[in-house]
Amino acid sequence: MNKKICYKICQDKLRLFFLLVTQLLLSPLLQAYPEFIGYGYGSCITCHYNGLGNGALNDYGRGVWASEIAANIFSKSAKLEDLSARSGFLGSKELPYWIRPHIKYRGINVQPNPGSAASKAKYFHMQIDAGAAIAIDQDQKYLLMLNYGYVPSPDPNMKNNLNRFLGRDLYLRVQATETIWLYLGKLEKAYGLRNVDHTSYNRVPQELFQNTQSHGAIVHYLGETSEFAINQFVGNMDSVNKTSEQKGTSFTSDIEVVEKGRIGLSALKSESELKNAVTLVGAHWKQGLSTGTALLFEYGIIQKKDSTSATNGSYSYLQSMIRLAKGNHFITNIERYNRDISATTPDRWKVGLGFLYFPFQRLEFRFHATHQRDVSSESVTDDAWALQGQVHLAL
Amino acid sequence: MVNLSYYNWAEVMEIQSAASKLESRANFGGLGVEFEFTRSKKNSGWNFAAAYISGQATGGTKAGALVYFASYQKFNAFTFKATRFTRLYPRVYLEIGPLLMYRPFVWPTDAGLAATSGSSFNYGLTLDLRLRLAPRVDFCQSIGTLLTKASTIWSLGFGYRF
Repeated sequence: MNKKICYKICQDKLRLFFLLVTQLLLSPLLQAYPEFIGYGYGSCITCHYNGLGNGALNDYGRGVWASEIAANIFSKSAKLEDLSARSGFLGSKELPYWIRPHIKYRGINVQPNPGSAASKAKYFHMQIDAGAAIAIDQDQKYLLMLNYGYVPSPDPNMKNNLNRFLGRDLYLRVQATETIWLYLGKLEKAYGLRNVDHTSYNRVPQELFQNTQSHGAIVHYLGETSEFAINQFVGNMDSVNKTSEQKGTSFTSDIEVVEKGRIGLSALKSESELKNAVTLVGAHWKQGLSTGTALLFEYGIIQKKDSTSATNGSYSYLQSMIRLAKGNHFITNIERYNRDISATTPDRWKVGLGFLYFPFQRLEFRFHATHQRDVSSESVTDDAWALQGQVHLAL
Repeated sequence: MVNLSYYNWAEVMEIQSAASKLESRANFGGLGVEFEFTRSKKNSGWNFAAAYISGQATGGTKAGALVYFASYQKFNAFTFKATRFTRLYPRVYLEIGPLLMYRPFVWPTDAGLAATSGSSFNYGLTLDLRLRLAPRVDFCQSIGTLLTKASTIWSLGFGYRF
């Protein structure tokens, strides 16, 4: 081989290496879209490596996003199979079967109470994640998920409890039989609907925060029309404050009862070394109505106990997504949370509406206006509004 | 269609003594029955709806220069709206239109303090989303605004189509 050819190959390899490294350094967060039952995808495993949703997309999920979900503004005339073939990490360049890298970024601009004198918009880098799915065998019966995140601006409630660099999803997935999947490592707790908004009332009061992935094991049964998962978790072993980590058991289920309609029950019971205990029981319903149009509902009760007090709260979460055109969706949400239904604490309501736009695969924009009001017989407070603009880049 | 919904809205409250006055907030929440008449069965058209709402109001403040607070105050309200609807899918439609409200209600006086909120007659805009869950059952949600000394009004409930 002459020197010129050798130099060219080296240069190409170097370019590929830099492309991979740059993408890994730039990347962010992975979430689930249970509302995509409106597209006919009721089970998370269809599109995600994690059968309970969230986390990196598998090849099929990337293809669905490219061909079925996104508007594809720059390639409107492209064939769906071509769009799908170009949806890989390096586009149409095929990677070896054993590695599927991913990179993700989510940023949000929030303007509280727009129009008021004190209103000041602030931009948050919500999620910067990178990692890879490593298939140990070609059938992906054994798969290792490595997903690391950087938290640029941690929630003040969490920042003394959190490493800025954290492993979000670090697990071994084993397909034990046709229907049984096992997960061992660090991942999201199995409970309820996993929606994108980590500030929603079906995630925050339950202490299922953006950065509270837990080490543990999950057994997931995946039948034709039903799913059940049991999760034993021991808290985040990388936490800088291990005594506050919740350890316990959770359960979730999902059963198809009508076409594009699934109902499920979830439960979680956990306690920290500081004797802060959380018990959750919830029921959910996912209903696809038309192509890209769906309704999600979850209701549950939350019991929290510590050494001095106990509260019994409840929450409701309702989201609708309506496909306006390919890639364009109108979304609404209505959420309610009461910290303690036996006391005089207010019903906290959030009502919102917005747009979800996928101009092409790898890019998502969200615009949302949220109205918040406390309803109580003990006090009346001012309403609050917030405008949010979100960008999500997933490579 | 007959629609049973929970409604909630806020009003600006004014608390008055002989010498001074203070601005506060009031909240109205209640169950309503709405009768909706559709003028078209096509993909777009007009809906006309009248509703009767019965519930409880809370208003005032427990701190400040004038302390006035009242809760569990029963009220009745009547609304009428004319909305232009667009059916996006056979099971989904959006509608928007003007909303009129009549709410005859007087806040009780307390220790020489009088309170008023909003307006007996109010008007605004509403944006409604209807999702058909079953051939005769709709999930109904709406968000809108009342323009006279009031603010956001929203509702959610279920409708039965005859």
